[in-house]
Amino acid sequence: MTAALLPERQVKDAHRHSKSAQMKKYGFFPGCVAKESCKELFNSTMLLANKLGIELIELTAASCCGASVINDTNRDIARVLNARTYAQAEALGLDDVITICSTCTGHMRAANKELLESEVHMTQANSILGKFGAKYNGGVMVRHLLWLLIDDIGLDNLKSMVVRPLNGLKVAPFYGCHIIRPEAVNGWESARNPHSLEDIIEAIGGEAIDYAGKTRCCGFHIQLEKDGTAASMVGQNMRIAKDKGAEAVLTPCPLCHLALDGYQQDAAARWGRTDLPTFHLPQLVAYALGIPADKLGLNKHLIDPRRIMTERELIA
Amino acid sequence: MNERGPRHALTVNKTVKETGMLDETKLIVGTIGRFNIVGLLKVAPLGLRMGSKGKIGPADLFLKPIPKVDEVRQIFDALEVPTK
Repeated sequence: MTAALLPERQVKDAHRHSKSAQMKKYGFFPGCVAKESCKELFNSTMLLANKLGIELIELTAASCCGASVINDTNRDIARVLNARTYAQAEALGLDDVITICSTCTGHMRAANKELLESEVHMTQANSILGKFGAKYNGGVMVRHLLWLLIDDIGLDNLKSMVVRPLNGLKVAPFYGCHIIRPEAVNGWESARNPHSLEDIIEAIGGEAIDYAGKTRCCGFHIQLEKDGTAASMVGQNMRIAKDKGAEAVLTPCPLCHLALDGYQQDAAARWGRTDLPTFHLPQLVAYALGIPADKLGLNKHLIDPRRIMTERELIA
Repeated sequence: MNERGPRHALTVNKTVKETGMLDETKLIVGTIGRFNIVGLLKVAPLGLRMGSKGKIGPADLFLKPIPKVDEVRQIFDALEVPTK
């Protein structure tokens, strides 16, 4: 086994402090959607990183993580695509790759687990990477920005950096699937009863709303195949959140954001109007830390969050 | 091929092999079917809403390949299973 991490530490490594964390210099894989239909997520992440005093080094030559689809249709290709990304991080001296998409987190961690647990998989990957002079030595961990905020920055420290608290804005956390399930791949917190988003919401001055839909699927992956079902999944989750008093939603996944932001209108006929704006995690944290609201791309959302922010006197 | 599921899978693989990234616009057209006018008209309102908000723009219609995309293509060529 050439890997630097033993297989059984894959799950424990979710909380391990990396060398990158000590240097405050991380590899950064934004994913596809944050560079296309959710550019506001990418931009607000970079602004937040600057505010936090950390450096995110974008792996510009990294490819798509597989987006669930390649992972299902040809697992070998997905695994090697991600091994290529990790090799790029290692070549830059980085042992920690941060993502801002839950789908990327889940699939990249799954690929890494397979590479670390199987000499066959690692050898296969490196035999192909070797054709263009790359090699993955097994020394990279993949984490979501949410985990960095809690493990590396710390909730108390984050709270002390807040200059614009949310004035008790009632925010429903929406975890979705890939950042919590399966626990054997992610293992950073309980998949059945996570609370990290609630902790962040409370730390930045909001009120976290507990509701049954917070760990359900948003339906994004079936939007094009079963659009009625996908819209209904959004509608049901948002109805539950709204009935519990939610004024907005916070999600760590741009795919969940696209589903929740885009499909509430279609779901209204069956589930009633909900109109809950869906914040990207970096947007809301960056706002609380003092980044001007007009820099966060809030105007890009289909359900405009500025309305509730104005009502709550968070923006003029 | 008439089923959206397999078309979706093939389109994702195709766009990632071509550009290194998932091309959202091509994904929608490829999954629904470029001659499926009714299907495309059904998603058009959401697309127009996203366009009006600036969530998608002209630049998103022509995605540039990532640097060293040939490496991605080599991975696909090495591991792809031929489809009929």
